[in-house]
Amino acid sequence: MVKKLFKYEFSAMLKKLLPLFVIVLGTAFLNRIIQFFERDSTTYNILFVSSVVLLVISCVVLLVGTLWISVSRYYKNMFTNEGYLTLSLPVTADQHITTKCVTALACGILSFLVCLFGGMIATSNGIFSEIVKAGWWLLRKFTKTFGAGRTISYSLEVILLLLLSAVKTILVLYACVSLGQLGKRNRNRPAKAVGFFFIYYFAVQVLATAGLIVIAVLDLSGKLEALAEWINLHPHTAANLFLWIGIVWSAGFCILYYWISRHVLTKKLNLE
Amino acid sequence: MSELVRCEKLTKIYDRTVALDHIDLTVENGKIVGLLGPNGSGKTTLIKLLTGLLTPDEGAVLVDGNAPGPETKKVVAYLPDRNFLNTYMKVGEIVQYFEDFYEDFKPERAYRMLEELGIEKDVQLKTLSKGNKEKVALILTMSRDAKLYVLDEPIAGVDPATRDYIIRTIISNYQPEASVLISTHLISDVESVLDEVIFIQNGTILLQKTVDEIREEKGMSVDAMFREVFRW
Repeated sequence: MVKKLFKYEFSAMLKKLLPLFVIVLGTAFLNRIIQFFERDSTTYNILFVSSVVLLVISCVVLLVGTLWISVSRYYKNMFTNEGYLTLSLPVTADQHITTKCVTALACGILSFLVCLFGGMIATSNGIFSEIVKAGWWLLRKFTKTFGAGRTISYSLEVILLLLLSAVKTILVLYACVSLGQLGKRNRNRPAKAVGFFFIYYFAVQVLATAGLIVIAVLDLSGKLEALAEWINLHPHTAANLFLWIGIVWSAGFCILYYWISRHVLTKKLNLE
Repeated sequence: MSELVRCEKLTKIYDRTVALDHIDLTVENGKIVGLLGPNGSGKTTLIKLLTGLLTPDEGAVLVDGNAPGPETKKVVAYLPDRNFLNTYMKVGEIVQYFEDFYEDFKPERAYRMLEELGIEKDVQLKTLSKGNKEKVALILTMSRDAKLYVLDEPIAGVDPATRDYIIRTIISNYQPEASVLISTHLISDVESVLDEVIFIQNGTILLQKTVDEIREEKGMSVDAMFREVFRW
């Protein structure tokens, strides 16, 4: 069943994303073609800058659009009339949330790769090979300084942290959409979901500010200095520790947001 | 006859409104049961609880011995009271969708009925008329060899000819050992096919009898009985 869910999720997402992929790659090709023309004219400069701006805008639209399409699909598929079919399938709420989240993540990665490929096309006049050379030099330098084992472990930890952060972003939006469905009145459910997101965002900012105030009031400068000294003495342990704190922190919030969506779908479902 | 549906003290409360109040109910195999009641009586809430779209606040509901979940969804064919299909899909795609997810779905039966109506599989659902969309939804539901068919207001808001088509489709496609639960206000249209009726009002069951019992005991049709019970 999960395989079939993935099949329909991917086909529905890609149907909407393909035109955006074409736009990004099209503007990248356009930019590259413009570069073949005479470079010392005002017309060239205007066309070149415009095509770069167009490429940047289309990449932003693709990345934001991917997230938007993923979240709106979750809402439409689960909580509107379509939910009557989706939630009548012999599938668990866990399978629904997981397939939607994994598909959204995979499509996000795909969109990122398309943007990267677009950038490659636009910079294939020699700049791209310079960027690759610089990246390769940095990697070699990093490996030489920290060793191959540490380079691999840092890379894996950073990738894991990035993936968990992306999943956390998707799941917090799913949780807000799910919470927006609560209450007796069925009206303005998308507005309620947006409201929940802003409440969440505001709460996060308030907590972060409160944390900074606590540090300032308690005068922890001495302890912070000690911490900085410890980091200087044990840079690898500190880097690993901070990366793992980030990983556990993100994983914890992923579980919380997943649980909220699951709870609404299994215990508080109230379709329009 | 074995028991297919059992509700015990089934209760659903929306905020402070009691939609279903400690309902006890059983439906046996092989019956066509009319779930009859005025608007807001709790028919759709009961159906949503049976299909697992709602969870009860108190009591329990069992379908084929299981609480609503993936196992019961395998054996319950549900037709909601609204268009629940993705209208951007083509008819053939939605048939494939049902075939993919429901093991008991019979695509050849669906295509036969669609062909009878002249609906091509390459047609997008959104281009069909409201009546044809409803017919497609019914065809998909009745193309399953389910144990329980739950049809929420299947003949509401359609012309008499379409009503006849819908009733004919239900009768000629459900499995004899299965049960059909039809919620409706239009009793005279379905009365001839019902084995049993359940009258529901304000979230409580007023009456559950066979159509023959009503005729023999009260000497009146189900329609006349409904009008008497629910008279303002």
